[in-house]
Amino acid sequence: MQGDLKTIDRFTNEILTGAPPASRIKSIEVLPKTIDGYVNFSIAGSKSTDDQITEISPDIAVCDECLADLSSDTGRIDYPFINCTNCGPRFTIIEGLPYDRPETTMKDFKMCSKCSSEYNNILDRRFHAQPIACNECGPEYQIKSAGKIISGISLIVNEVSSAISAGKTIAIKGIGGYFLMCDAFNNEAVTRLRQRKQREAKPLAIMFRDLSELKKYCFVDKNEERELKSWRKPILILRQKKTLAASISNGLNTIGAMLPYMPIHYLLFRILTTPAVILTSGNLSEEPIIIDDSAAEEKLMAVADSLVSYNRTIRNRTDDSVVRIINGEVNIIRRSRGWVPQPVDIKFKVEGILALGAEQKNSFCIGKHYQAILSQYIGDLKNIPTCDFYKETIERFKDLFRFKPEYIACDMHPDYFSSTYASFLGKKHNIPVIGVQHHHSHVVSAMAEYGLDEKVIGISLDGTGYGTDGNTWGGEFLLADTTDFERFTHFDYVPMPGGDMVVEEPWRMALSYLYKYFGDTIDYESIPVFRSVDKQRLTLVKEMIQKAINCPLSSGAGRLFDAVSALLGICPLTSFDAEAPMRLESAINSETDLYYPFSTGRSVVFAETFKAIIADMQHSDVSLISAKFHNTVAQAILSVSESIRKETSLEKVVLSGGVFQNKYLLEKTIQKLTQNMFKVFTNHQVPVNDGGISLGQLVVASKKTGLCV
Amino acid sequence: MKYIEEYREKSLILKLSDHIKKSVKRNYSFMEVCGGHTSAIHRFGIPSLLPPEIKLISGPGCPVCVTATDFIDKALAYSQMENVTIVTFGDLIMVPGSSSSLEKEKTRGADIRIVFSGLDALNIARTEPDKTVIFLGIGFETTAPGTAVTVRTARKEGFGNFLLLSAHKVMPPVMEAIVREGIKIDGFICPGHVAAITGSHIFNFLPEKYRLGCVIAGFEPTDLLQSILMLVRQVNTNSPDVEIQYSRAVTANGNLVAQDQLYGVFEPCDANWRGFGNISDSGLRLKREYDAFDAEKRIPVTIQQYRDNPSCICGDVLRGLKIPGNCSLFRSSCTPENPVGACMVSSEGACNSYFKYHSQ
Amino acid sequence: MCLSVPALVVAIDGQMADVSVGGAMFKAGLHMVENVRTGDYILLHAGFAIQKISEEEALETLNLLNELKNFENE
Repeated sequence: MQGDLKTIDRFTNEILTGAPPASRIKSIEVLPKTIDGYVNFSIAGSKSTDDQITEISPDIAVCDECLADLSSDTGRIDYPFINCTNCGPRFTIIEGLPYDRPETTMKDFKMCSKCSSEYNNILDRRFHAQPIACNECGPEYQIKSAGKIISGISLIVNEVSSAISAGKTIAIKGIGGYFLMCDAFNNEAVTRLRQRKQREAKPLAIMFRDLSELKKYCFVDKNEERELKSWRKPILILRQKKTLAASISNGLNTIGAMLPYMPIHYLLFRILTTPAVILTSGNLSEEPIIIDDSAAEEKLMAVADSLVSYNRTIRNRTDDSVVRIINGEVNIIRRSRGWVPQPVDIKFKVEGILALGAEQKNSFCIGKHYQAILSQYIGDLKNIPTCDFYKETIERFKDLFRFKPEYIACDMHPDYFSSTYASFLGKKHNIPVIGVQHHHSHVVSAMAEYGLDEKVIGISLDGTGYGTDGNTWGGEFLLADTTDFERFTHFDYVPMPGGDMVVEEPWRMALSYLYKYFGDTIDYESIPVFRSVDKQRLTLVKEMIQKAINCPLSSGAGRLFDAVSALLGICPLTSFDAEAPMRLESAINSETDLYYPFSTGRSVVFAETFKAIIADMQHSDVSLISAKFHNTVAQAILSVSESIRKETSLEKVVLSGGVFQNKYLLEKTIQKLTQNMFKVFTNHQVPVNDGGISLGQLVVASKKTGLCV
Repeated sequence: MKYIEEYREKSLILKLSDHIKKSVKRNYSFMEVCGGHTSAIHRFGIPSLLPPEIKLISGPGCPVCVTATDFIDKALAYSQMENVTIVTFGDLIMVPGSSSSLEKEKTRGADIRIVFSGLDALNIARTEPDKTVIFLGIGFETTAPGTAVTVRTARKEGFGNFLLLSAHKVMPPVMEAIVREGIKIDGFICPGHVAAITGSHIFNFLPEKYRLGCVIAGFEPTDLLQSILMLVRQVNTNSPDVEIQYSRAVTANGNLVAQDQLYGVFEPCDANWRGFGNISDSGLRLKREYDAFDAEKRIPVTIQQYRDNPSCICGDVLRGLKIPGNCSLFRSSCTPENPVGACMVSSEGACNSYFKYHSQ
Repeated sequence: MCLSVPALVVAIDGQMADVSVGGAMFKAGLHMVENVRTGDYILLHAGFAIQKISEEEALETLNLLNELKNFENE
């Protein structure tokens, strides 16, 4: 850059203060240089550099300026694909690097003269905005309803609005895939949507017209408000204030809420009478969100009454992201639209490592220099469509980021698809495969976010993960560093009668814990939840426990929460993942610091806890018992941390694993630990659940291969 | 082959036959309620090894034979729907419905496929996501747990195109119905493989409630002969009991893991048995949690009032009141190639066994 | 329909096993039986192992039968 000093200073400052909302400024270096005689300002065309990362921006929600343009820009009045250099689709439309129009799915749309001149005008907000388009030259929406096809945005918006008011379901093509939309206040419509989607009980996400409407139905603190309004526009898990249709949250006290993020949402809400709509992913059962137009027509027309689509291809499938504010900070539950493919900067060299993640809520990640680039949320690798999506996306990432795997990291579980795929890729490319223990990976994923490269107290609480002793782990207290770990202690091993049946029938875990600690001294008939189970089945399962038939052992914290949730009668049977602990957390509505007794020795034993809970069930309500139980777990964490500190002088505690998606538990735990002078670290850039595990695998592999010493 | 050859040793068979002949003191009628037993008894010529005092009656032991016509009609109705694939075990394909059969519809172009296992049906659903695969679940407590595992797997993997039409049934209620009907029997030969799953205790009601003895038998000739000998002794000493002859596969408690899978997915319901009509709590249907896999709940289907051929006496044969030879259609218009009734269709059916192993 | 036959476990891959019935190979789901090893015998029914065959009990039965064979008088 060339100019007088004052101007240069102002320029440098404005880079910081006037930076577009979605930018990340890593550093600014000012190096003096001899004047070269530049005459004017221009942006040189991007060169395709072979090895350097050119970062791809995540998709950015439509900005306020563009929204204003919808009413004032003559070529773009109500144009639903409006965007500028500060907003619009990015990752979802990109086909290759560098980020230039011909390498996106906008390549099929030739710019008209107006767009072209704005694109080339450095003073224009649409200067080099790759997806630039207008009513004349850009993509268009259409709606298919009752066999007719309607074009023209205002007709479409009217059609959708009347359909929604009439209680119908609309399939609508969004940024990262197709979604299903219906009136959030129409219980019949919501119920029908659930049935058709076979999503009987899982909570559904809601989009509100604006923040003030949202605040009528949800409690929102300032951190939550900030995230809701951010350029990512994720779904926030918020505490419910007032009910919408009863079957939305289905008994839970939280709502997944978001604000509009595409121009068409705004156009719709202008005339929709309802202030909120359900906006849930367009897929059937557990398959990936649909992005292909013909697949949408085929599959979604059975579920929806009309189909709204547009003529630009979605190249990279991306679900909406889900976030929860815990302790004032962002905790990502699902990392996808608005995050992918933003890298996580780490201080470890990870070039050439492909970390394949685990099984549930899978994401994988690739290492480039000192950056980890995580994929979007893939899903549970339990069926063919999801596994195909996984394999395709790995190939896409290799292309997009010019990534060549030299090492593969994966989970140690022998039966995960990701593990067998790791083996396959390893043989195919003749590269080493490094297995990383599940809970160790969780801990290291958090360490990586903070650049921690020392031994820490690593606490990993989740439902299940393969342990090095062949058992199922999940309540783990590790002495961990980025290379290895030692298991200091863990939650007691408890049998899981029927193996994976305990996930659908948590009453089995209640029975198992009680039987383990109290055997036949308990009158099981006196406990309501066991009376609700068929007597024959209860006897059968008890016999299996007694004879240790089909009763693999687990130290999973998730199982403990399942057991208590079932014992209290809150959730003896589940219909979606983590329903029992979610309902248990949801039951809390009182403030208390009380906790139940427990013991720590060779393992953390909750016998006294269960004894106390059973006694408490006589006179306290479930809400209080749940709070006291959560406090007990937090206290147990503190107690073990103190034991570790006493023995090792370690003071840094790292918390990770899916159980810490529980806001009450995480906040209580952090509170207790910080009050007792521990320094606490947990995940913020990647999920604590298995969606973040690939980051940990990446770093451990880096250490083990000697890439990073 | 191990576990088979040893139990077919000729000298053992002859010796057992001899012992039985020496043990009879009166007349005896024993009923078997297992298609495998029906078939084995006739294949090995067991009746010819028994003294005339012992009569073996064939009961409702063949799951194909006891499947009522309305089930076939429902399956046929589904087979006519677009993009539906009917998947079934082999024998069911020839069973006549009111006006057609699965085999006939298959020749007319309906997508009907035969599998050996529920897992095969699931594979079809997995590899052909555009088809709605409806699996016809027939069989007793031996087969139902496998279907349960299949449905659980479908749920775990999030299948959207796999459905079950269940005609699964359980044995004790129909056995009790036979006893209460007053059909004269002195004891039961109990199904060995059902018992391998359920354990022997499900038959305790026979001696306890009706003073009828039973022996849980294996399927080789020596197994059957030994079981008959044990039954004769029970009757002679007037000590009705539940005895396990097939101890290499059957215990008192059975296979707990299989039972757990079974009752995790299914619950008892009323069921329609060919020859018996409705018997309460004798069938198995999917629990509410598995509604998404229940064909009739996901795709409701209506059928006409069904009708059976009035000359067909399968019902009486299944109840042990008549033998195939009593039927006017037997061998003339009803043969394995052109069956009129279900008992002729299945290789385990009484009529089919008689046809194959007894000369005119 | 689907008879149950004794089958020899030849190879195990996760929850599925390759089993041999007198040389003919079949696939069997092991979801309902525990601790199965190659060399064990299971009862194969409709593509699943429904029970392990107890070698001990099998021998016991044979012994009993043989005793009967040798026993001349009732």
